Amino acid sequence: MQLGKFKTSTPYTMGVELELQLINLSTFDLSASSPDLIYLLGKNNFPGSVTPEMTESMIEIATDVMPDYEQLSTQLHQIRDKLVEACDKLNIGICGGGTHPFQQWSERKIYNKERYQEASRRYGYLAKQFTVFGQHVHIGCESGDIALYLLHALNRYVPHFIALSASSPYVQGSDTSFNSARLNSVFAFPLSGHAPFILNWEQFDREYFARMHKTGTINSMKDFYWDVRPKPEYGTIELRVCDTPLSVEKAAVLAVYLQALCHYILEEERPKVSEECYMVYNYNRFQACRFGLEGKIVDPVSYQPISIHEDILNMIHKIEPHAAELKSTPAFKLLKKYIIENNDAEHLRAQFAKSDSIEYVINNAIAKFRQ
Amino acid sequence: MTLFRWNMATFFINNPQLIWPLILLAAWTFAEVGTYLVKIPKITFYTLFGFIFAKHQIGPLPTLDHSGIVALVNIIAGLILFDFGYRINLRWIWSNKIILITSIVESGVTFVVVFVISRLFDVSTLVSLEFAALFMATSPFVIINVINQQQSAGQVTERILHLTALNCISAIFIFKLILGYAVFEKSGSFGQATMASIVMLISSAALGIGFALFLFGALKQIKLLTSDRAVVLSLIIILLVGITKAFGLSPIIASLIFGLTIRHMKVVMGQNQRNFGALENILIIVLFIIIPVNLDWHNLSLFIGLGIALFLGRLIIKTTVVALFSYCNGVSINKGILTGLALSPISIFSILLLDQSVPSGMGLNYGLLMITGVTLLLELIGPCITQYALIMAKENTPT
Repeated sequence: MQLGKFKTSTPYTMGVELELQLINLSTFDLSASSPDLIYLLGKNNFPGSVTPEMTESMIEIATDVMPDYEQLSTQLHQIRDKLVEACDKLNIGICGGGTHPFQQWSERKIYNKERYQEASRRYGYLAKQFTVFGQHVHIGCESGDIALYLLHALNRYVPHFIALSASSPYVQGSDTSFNSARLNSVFAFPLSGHAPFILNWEQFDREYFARMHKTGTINSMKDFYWDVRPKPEYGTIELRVCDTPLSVEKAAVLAVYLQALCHYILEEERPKVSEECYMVYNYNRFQACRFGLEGKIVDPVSYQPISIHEDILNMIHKIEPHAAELKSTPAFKLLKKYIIENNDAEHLRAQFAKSDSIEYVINNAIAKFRQ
Repeated sequence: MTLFRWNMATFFINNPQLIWPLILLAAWTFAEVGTYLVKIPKITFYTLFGFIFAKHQIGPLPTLDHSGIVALVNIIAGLILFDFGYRINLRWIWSNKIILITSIVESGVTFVVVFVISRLFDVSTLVSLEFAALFMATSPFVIINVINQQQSAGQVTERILHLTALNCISAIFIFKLILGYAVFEKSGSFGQATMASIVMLISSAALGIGFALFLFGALKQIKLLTSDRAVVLSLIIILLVGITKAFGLSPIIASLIFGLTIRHMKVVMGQNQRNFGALENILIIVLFIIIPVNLDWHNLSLFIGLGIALFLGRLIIKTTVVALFSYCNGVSINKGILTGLALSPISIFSILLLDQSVPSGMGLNYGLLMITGVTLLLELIGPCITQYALIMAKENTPT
């Protein structure tokens, strides 16, 4: 089996997917309520789309294809409003955040859909402990070759997105000391990490995907849990490293940052990509997960260390003209503000320090999602 | 059988300190084995155990005449009702008016239907009115226990919790009004009797809110670990129940409102302290084996026809009304039907209510006898229906 043609899409258009937590408002634990919520949302017109996820305490929402920040932000807010309205009707809390602070993986229920049941049989407890919540951003590409090139060129910037979006400091009731502990759950899957270094779509399809399919280990691209992966049916690349932020506004800003970065890479920088770039990839990724914006990464080309915080500010400075061209200047103002405020992981820690209650932390996340 | 009863009685008279440890252990074992074999809720087996080993049948269990046991039952009920009240979200009832409307309609229609059925069985008007009021309520003890046992989550779970809280409050209110009517017939002062009932309800609720405010203020002053809060809460509930009994107020309303207020003040218990942990499991055994000990098989068999008619009438009405309103409120018709079915448990709540509310000299013993017989039936079947509904709705957590 081969993937076939990579669908062409308008360059730099965006789509955002958010995995969200469903909360029991009495106990603040996760609530297996996605079947009820999806049923209710299915009865009305929903902007974008809503789908179930691996376990019944999660849902995934997705925007339509969006050309710019304003339209993306508007639809994300519309989706948020619809979700809040439906959740209010069903007595469910809904929020962002990469992990639920104290849920026990063994109590989760796998959603009644063949794909998830199959994943549960295949991966055992990994499927239930995959009750983690991420943001995925799609960027439109003209061709499969461009998608593969972009995918590898972005490896240098993956830590930016991990650090900016990090919102998963707590796991199973304890502070992990990580900013993004969510990615440790993703890393446990055998087909996670980065995509193989292939720059030609035909070659990728014929020599990698088709062979992998023959081994019986995969059925589709969905079985690869890579940090950035091509999505031929949409004609996009999909960045999957972000934790779901606590607000939809931040989700829109992160998407726009990626959009401007892709524009800069393809229209101006055109960096040379090689397999060697991945030498420090896992180390940089770890730094971002562990220390967030204070992490120190190593430039894969110059071998110079630099703090993630500083690296992002440098990059913002470089790509601001591209952001202006894409009508994203207001988003970049917010991006700078987010860097000064630090990420959501530190915000959640501050809430815990203030209240000494992990339930209060979740209550704050619910309130922040509604703001 | 007579020899067995005599031997057992002799043994416990000679060893009174062994009565409760052996009863609890035997009830627990009976329920564990029973649940393993037939997969129905443990509380059904506790009740069956309490009924079989009651004084009127074969066993050594003391009757509810003992004031110490009544006090214990009240405290247990207080703790469970606190837990129940803690799960109620007033904001939801306020923002989603259909929940409140559903409750008013299902309780109201149940009232009418139960009254008509009772009258058809030649039950007196006053007792029929009392039946009608009591049958509006769903047992919060059964509901919270089955939900906890099944670890259920979803719309059926949320709706039966909230509808139960609402129909219990309605039932108490209407029941007190009927008592007021009865007192009026006797004393000629309907207004005074009604006022007394309303004042009692409001005072009980105010006491629950007052205790919650006091606790909230105290916890702000004392830096208490979340894990220690369950102990403080338990002690306060025991005090609250004691005060309600001393002043003739309703421990049911006070405990329920206390739990509800504590929840809305965001006073949080530690995750492993919820439901009072193992303590509540033991208390549940005590509660469910004690409640049927006054029942006599002969009384039960006298009113079996009425019991079945009331059970079916109530079940059909609650299921139909709740299903229709739930469907209009964005829930599937399947889950709506299951929500209505899950509201079938009654019994303990009504017995407690009768036990604490009927003033002496009201001539309602006949009614009490009938309703206890009827409610044993519902006690045994109700939890099974609720469990079945949660499983069919796929809201339980499979073990």
